[in-house]
Amino acid sequence: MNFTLYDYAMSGNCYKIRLFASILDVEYERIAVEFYPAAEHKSYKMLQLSRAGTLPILKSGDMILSETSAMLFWMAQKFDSFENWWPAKRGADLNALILQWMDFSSQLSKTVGRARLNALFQTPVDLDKAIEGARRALRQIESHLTEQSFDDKKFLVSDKPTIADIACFPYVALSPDVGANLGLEHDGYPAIQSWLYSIKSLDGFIPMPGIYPMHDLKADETDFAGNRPATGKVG
Amino acid sequence: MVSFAVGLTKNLPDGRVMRSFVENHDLVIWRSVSGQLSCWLNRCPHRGMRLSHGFVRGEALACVYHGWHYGKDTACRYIPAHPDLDPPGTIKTMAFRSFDKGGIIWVNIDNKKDEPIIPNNLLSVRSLEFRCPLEMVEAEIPEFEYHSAKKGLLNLKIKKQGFGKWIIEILGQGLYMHLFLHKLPSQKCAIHALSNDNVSSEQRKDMSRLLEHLRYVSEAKYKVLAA
Repeated sequence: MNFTLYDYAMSGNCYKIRLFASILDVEYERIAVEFYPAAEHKSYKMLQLSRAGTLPILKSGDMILSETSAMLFWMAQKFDSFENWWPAKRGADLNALILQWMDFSSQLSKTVGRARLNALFQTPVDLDKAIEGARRALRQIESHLTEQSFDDKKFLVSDKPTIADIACFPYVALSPDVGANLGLEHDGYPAIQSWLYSIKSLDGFIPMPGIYPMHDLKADETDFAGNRPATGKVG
Repeated sequence: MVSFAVGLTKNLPDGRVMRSFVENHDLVIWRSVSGQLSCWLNRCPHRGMRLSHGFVRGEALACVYHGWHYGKDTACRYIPAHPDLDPPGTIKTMAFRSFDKGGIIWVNIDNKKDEPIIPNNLLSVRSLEFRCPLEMVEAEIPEFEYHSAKKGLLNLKIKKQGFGKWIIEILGQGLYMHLFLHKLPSQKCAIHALSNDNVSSEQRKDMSRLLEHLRYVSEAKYKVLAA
């Protein structure tokens, strides 16, 4: 096995690693940890493994990682021999921008992520502050993606996806889970919608609860003319 | 009744779905794979699910809940749970007149012919949602000032073209922007903005930031009023 992932299905942070592993077509061992309600990630046994007491945890040999940006970087270095996802040779500016959006993804976890945990599990949080921060983060990413589109770039730092897109994708995609009429649904964010569509269209894309696959991309249905398909089956 | 600007043509490519509102009607607006635009009530006749959560299959819109397919004439064409059934013609949703003109998607809720006047050579800037009422933005626009990071205080010539329609000209730069204000429920609104077509990417970014500043100022004033 290439690595072991201590994982929770509902976590957007764990999903980053599952998604990137699927896109890179990398096999790994997955160990489910009961985040809610057992808080197993705070158990003695899990704290022995990672002092951070958070999920996911990535273990490869003696190496233990608890920050998703580091995991995505490690996976890109290790499994992406074409250097598409961390294009080291494309210059300092591009790499710094990738790191900047990787850092930004932790803002998304702290705002969208925490407000969503409150909506799902009543986890205590300063909800107004989290929602305000979430909205500010979505607006920032919307305005940035709008400007990218003026330069015909579909993704956060380049015309191709990088690990920055993987890092920011989950909590932007999950923001409607926080609740209606908070400015966190995707209706008012056309550039975000288009970006989510581009990421969902990638080879190897997998869903998670709250992030659905694109039904509309199934090529076998595109000749459907508004009448019942001859096969009688719609995916 | 006039036609309402509900979005930018650029933001709804073929095969995609969006949600919008006109006069508190919750609407689904979608474009078939062949490019035909439709605007319906945003409610699946089956279980009331928002059709804007649905997806386009060829020339039909499918509801995400149980996959019922509706053709461009609004009639249900296919029910996946009953693949051999010809759905009765009574299962249909309600359509409104919708069309693209000048880079804007227009909806006309009383279905009367009304051709909005708009030049046809404009370039999309962006749609931007504001968390304050439309009237707040209408009051702000004539007073609006903008300091560009690179060019300092811009010399703006602001002209009202009718209710919710403005032209902001940036003097000395050969730039002008058409703004279409769009009332949304819950004290919100949006601006759909286009510019003249011979502009650089940098100039579009400048205009996009100008709109963000207009939002910042309008929302800040609204916050003070609401407090």
